[in-house]
Amino acid sequence: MRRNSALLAVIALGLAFCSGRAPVKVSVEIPGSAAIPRDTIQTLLLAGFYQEKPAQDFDVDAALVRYLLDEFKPKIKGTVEAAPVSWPGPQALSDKEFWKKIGAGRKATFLTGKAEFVQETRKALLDSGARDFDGPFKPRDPWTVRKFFSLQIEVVLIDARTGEPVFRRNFQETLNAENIKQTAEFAVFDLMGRIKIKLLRSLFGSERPLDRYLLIK
Amino acid sequence: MSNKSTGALVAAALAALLVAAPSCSRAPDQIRFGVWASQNNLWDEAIFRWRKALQADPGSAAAHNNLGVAYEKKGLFEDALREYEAALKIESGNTFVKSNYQNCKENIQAADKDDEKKKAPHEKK
Repeated sequence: MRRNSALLAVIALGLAFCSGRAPVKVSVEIPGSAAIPRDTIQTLLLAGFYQEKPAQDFDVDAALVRYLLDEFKPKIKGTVEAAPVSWPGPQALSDKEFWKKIGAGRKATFLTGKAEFVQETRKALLDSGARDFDGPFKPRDPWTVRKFFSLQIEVVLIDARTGEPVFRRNFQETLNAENIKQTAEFAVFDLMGRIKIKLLRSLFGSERPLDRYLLIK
Repeated sequence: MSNKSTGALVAAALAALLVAAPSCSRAPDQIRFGVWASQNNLWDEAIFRWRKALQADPGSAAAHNNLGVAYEKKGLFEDALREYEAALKIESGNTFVKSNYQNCKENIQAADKDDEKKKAPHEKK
């Protein structure tokens, strides 16, 4: 009897393995609206950002390129390279021939745009500083100093073969640092951390779980 | 139970396995392996398997449907729709394929609406 039960179990397993037809319901992380499917970028060339008033003490463009190079490398299948260009002027950004010439027919996408980085030391009056009563403590300094940073970038993706822009979007982030010794390099890193999230979401879309059915047969 | 009845049972088992055997041929195996790969988040492997299944059996609705799901996962929505349509041509009454196709279309339409919303403030400028 036991032998027969084992035999029936084997038969059932064999049939289940060979003729299983039940679909499998899966929850798939499906990307939302992506400007560019990440699999379609074979080579991403970081051409740098045009600046109308470049900072004298800090190379913002180089810092941005370095940052984006590290961020994009693990996120796309293709290669990511720095390909700095010498800007003839702001009009180059919308000059198709300029990009076609630099692209030299490569199946690649330029990541470029405009950047404006501002850093200021700002003073603010917190209170009047008037002492209401006599006491052993010195009155608090009514003035406070903050370091203010602002980064505004226009990111443009350009098809290297046609010179046509395939993506264009503006991003702006600001940072108020209590530490007045905060360096521009650290500030750019913080600001880019915030811009990166928005940039990647708008480029590749954010993922959300959706139910789908996989068929076995 | 007698030896006779055991023998009959074994014969029945063999017959059942033989009937089921064609579905154990290459294409379904590839499909099964692809499903396993996708459940383990190995979508490239799954795509490879389902493409192989299609090479072996171009009329496999399952391979087309599953490729549709994989392409959706990759964000290749046009390719996904094409695969679902191919699956529906083969099995027009399959409710699961229909459901995937409908949901894929709705997802694309929602994405298009999002894009319009994103563009609108820029155009106003």
